[in-house]
Amino acid sequence: MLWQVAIRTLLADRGKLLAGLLGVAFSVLLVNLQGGLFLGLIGKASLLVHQGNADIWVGHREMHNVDFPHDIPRRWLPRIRAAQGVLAAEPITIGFSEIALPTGGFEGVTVFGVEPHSEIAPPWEIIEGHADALDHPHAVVVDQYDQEKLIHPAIGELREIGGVRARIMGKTRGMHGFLVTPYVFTTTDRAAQYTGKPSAHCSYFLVRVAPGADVEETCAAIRQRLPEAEVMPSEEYASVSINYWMTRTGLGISFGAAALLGLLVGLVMVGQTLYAMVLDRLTEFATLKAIGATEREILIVLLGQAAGIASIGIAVGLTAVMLLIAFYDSPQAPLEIPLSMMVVSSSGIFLMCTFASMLPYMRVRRVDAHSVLQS
Amino acid sequence: MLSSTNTSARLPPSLGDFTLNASFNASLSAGHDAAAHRPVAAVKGIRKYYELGGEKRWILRGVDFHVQPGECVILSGPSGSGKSTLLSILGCLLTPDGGELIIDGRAVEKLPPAQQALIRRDLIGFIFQRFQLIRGLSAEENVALPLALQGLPAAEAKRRAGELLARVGLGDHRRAIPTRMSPGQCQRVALARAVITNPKLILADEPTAALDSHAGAEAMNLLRALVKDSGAAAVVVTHDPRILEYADRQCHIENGLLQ
Ligand SMILES: Nc1ncnc2c1ncn2[C@@H]1O[C@H](COP(=O)(O)OP(=O)(O)O)[C@@H](O)[C@H]1O
Ligand SMILES: [Mg+2]
Repeated sequence: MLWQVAIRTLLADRGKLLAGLLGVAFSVLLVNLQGGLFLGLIGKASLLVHQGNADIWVGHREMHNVDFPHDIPRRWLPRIRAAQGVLAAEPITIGFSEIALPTGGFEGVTVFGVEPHSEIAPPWEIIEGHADALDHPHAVVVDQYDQEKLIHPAIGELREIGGVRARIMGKTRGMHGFLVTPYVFTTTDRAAQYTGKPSAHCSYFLVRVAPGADVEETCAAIRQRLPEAEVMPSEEYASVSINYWMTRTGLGISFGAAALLGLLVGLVMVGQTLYAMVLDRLTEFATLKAIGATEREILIVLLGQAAGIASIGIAVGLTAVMLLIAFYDSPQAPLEIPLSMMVVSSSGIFLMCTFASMLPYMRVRRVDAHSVLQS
Repeated sequence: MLSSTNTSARLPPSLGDFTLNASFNASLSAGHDAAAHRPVAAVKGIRKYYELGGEKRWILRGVDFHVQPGECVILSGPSGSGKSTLLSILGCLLTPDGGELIIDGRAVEKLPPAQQALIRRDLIGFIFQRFQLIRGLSAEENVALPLALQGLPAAEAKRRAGELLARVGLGDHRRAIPTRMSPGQCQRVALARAVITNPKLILADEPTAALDSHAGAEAMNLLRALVKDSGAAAVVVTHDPRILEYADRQCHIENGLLQ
């Protein structure tokens, strides 16, 4: 019967109930939107690491971000290949340069060079141009997303990158990273030319381990042969790269703060709804006390009400999140909302809401039944 | 915990029409006299003050009072004399600032709040001037609530509540919500709620003050019948002279002392 008291009391004031429900729903939406934008954005920071087939990344000592490598000598390659557990290893080159625009200006680019017909380097989906685009002399591939920054390059169009000829031979989709500079894909040799690096240098070696070989053990084997290098499993380097942006920019804090604010909105809305309802019905709670309800039972009523508002509000909020996922599409700010985030945020908000029932509970505890029931 | 015997089961069917005859009441009272050695509730030297602007104002200055099973005591006195305060102390809703409170043989004034809640639940039934029904619940649910708090399954609690409502003449109003009932009907629901658990002590604070004289008389008849039938003790606060005829005993409180 206590739950009937809880439900009827809630339903008796639809206006306040609606405010509480909207607050929770809004809170769910806000937290998931912030979290989804954050994951979408931060996911770009490790795009190059995640896209490839490499099991291990080998780079300069203390490498900390995939987009900002320090040069390493190509002659390390035989030593890596000789290490126990290594199936294949290839160099890649990443560096900054500038592409000349037909309008007379320049645009900074991140040049990404891979070995011809690489099996390990990040594959890209050519949606325009030749599948073997990089086989052509001076060939580079750009991403369709950067059309405007590069002033609409046509297939076959000749440009200059770092003062060296470059011919646009293909366009990819979805290859844009965390940086504002467009990626230009080419071979390691041409990448060295475009970025002005000595051709004896590269940025990383990508390693695939032999079937059955352990990634950590292979890393150790490479480290033994190349003590001067940094050797990391891909997953680790992905999180190192993500961590770079998280800690060196305010990104983590600002998204985290926004998500936290979303949680607080839920807390305040439910707390205030229940509190206002309780203030309206102090006499009824005093009556419950007078007819023998214990504080525990009164707490159960309030917790039940909070849980009810939370559950329905969360359901509404999650529906809104689903709709958002279905209809939202922006490459600049991709939204990545995994199921785990919905579950975690909903549980968090649910707990917050039940916690919010403490405020009205304190008020009811203090109520002086003698005085209240006189009037 | 009280015996779960239903109050209403022992009420005469005629109660629905409020034509209780005096001989019936008398026979019941006589039956209870034998068991009435020990007071249901007793206070000794009860003192209570309220703080007003940092100054203590003593409302009760050492009140001695007791009520026996089956007895209906009327507590009268001028407005502001502390009648409600004494009633709240008897009902464990207010802690006295001195003196003893014994309910059903137990000293309760120093018990922790949770224990006092159990005493209210099992031993005491309250009736208020403004009925204090739960607005969202139907008449039947309001009456069933104390039983449900005692742990009775909701269906059984409602069945008994329905029976009792029929006996107090509200058989057709089981599903009605308080805002749809007249004051007289609301007070009858409140009476039913106060007695459904078969409490040993019934405390009523100005139960007729919000009713017209007809409904007031009806409510008092009903209260008296329910009290006499169950052998409970009743303390009724009032300054309505028309009620005095229902009293076994009358106590007058003035200047913080019982006269
Ligand atoms: N909670 C309280 N705080 C301060 N004064 C109170 C409080 N409750 C009652 N009083 C005062 O105590 C006096 C007695 O109150 P009460 O017991 O309600 O009297 P009665 O019921 O006889 O009219 C009144 O003067 C009232 O104003
Ligand atoms: Mg009073």
